Amino acid sequence: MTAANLDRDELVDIARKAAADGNLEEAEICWRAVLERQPDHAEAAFGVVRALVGSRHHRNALVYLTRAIQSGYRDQGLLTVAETCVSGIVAPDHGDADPKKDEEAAADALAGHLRRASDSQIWPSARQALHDVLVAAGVDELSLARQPGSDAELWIGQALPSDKLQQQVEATLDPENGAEPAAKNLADLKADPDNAEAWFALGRFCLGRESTAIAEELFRRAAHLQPDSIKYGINLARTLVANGRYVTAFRAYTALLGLPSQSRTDGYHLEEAAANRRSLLSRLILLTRQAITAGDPARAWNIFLMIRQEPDLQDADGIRAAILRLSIDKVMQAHREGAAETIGLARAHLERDPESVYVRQVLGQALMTARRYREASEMWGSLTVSAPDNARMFLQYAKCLERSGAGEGAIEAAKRALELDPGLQSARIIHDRLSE
Amino acid sequence: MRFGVIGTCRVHNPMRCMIEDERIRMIWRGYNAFTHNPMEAIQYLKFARGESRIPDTFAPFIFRTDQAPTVDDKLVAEMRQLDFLIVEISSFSRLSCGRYEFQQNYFSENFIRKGGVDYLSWWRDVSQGKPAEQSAEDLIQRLDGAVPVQSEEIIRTLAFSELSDQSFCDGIRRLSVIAGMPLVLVPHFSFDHEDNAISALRLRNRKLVEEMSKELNHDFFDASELLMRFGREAALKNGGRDLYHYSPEFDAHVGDAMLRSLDAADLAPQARVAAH
Repeated sequence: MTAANLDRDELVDIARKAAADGNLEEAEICWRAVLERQPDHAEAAFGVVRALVGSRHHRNALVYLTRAIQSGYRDQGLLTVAETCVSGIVAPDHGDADPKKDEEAAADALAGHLRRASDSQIWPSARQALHDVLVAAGVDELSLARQPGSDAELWIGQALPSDKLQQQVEATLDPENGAEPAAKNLADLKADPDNAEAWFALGRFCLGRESTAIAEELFRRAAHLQPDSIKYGINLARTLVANGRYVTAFRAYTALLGLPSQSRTDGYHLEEAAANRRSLLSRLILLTRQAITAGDPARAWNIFLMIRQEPDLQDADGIRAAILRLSIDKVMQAHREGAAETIGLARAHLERDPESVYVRQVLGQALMTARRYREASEMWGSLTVSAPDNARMFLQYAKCLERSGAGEGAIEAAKRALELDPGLQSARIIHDRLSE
Repeated sequence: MRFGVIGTCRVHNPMRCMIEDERIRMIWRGYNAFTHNPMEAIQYLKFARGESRIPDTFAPFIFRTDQAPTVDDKLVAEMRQLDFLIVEISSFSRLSCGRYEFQQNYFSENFIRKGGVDYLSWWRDVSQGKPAEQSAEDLIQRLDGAVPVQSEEIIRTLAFSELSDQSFCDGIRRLSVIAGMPLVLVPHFSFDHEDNAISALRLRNRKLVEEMSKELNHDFFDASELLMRFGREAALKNGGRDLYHYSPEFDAHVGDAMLRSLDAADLAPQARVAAH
């Protein structure tokens, strides 16, 4: 069979059957051929994702995953596959993601990966697509926020392609209702897609018709084209607030305050930005406390990271401690229940509190339970440095080294454990067994 | 006895001369793409046996064709009947996209040149061994996002590397296991007396291919000495200045020498070449 001689529908049938039979390579070839015939075929793009994730080519898979989402793929299983794909890029040494993970758990894990991933790992269009899917799945946008920075990209974000944006605006135009100015702007943009003022005018037009989601994109495009324009920036920031995107809005106002004023109007805008930012700070403090009460340490921590340096924030240490208490409670609960999430929760906690000896021990234990001895030995090895007089740390280290095939190191670790506690029988057994 | 040929024009053309001289007979030639490194050879062999597939999208970079060639039952049956393979392993460079191995010359011709100047900066970075992801975003932005998904996959994930001795030898070991039949391993020709980067690379190539032949108990055929005896000016194109292509006269000479060497190795074809 050669794919070249088949039409799209025939290929789809063969691909579905091959996928159902577990023949992922055959399915991949057919889905790829479908995409040549119909580039926006969402099922085909997702079919390629499944095959590429199966062969552990996660970056390749992410290209198709992004296209599948952009083409409207939202079927059951999307989040689970997306999580496996992104996990393979962000944490390739951490073994396979749990394929039995349900969609909710996958969404949480995926959100965690996205927070940690660099732009070279997850490029902007992929990040945006995954972000959209997670928000649609009910993940709070604040839980997805990354660490704040001064880079405009962090708040301006990724602008939609010009043609898609123009199509969205056209869809909102009502010829009976004063659409002429917008139509003129659209015509201007067809001639010059880099006409920032036309994008801005369209944004104002959509805002006037309460199409705030499209307005946000239009202001974003204008701000992309002229990142030092206070006028474009403040309109984007206001619209972000209107759309409930407080974290991004806070960043936008913060960034605006660093721009030089070019006119009296700019001066007014900057005063407004400072006032709105103060108001948002109060809101973010409240949201941090609400997240703690709701038991969402990731969300609380992300907001806290952004506001912790603010002079107006009172009791920063108390808030931090409350988040860490909540975070450690989650780790302990998962550990007690023997849940597979223990590893992810412990790693997330250690990002917030890297020195926590207790959570490092929990993580070391959970990795041993998961038979990930190489990673576990790294963890216990670091614990022997943090607690050089603790025989049990050396014992665990010896166990992991033995099971990961590092016999010499295991003997040394067991020997040190016995020096610290000569009655430690497990250490003696390991030492004697490996020394024979 | 039947044998197949995998490699570049330096093994295909000599065999073609032997076919023209009717010293051997060709029984199948559905496609004839060239390969350089062990991974490409493995991909080619598995494809011809019907054990793996190549998407049409990537055919221009693997076969220099618009669509992947058809692998029919006849070819698969012929492949099963091969007695041995002649495999030229002439390069340490590897260009791969996911699980697909690209042929560097075909890729330059069919992706970079077709892409135009926009692709040059990205390709310069990738061919220097930098991860594609570093310059992919720039290229995608320059193309205004209007990139087919298959091209985007290449732009974001293409990997170029120079194989270490270890990876090169491991590749030949894997080829040997997958082939499951005697091989005649052929290195790039080289000049012992020249002291430059290309010669150093070719001498390293010859040394490792010969070592692998011994380790894996395969035959070894090196045209270097033959070339020197024939005379460089006559053996290579452009009066000896082309360091990659044999002259037609030397192709015939190498073909003859190869068949004699196969005779000596007791692998001689009675009259046929299978997958050429």
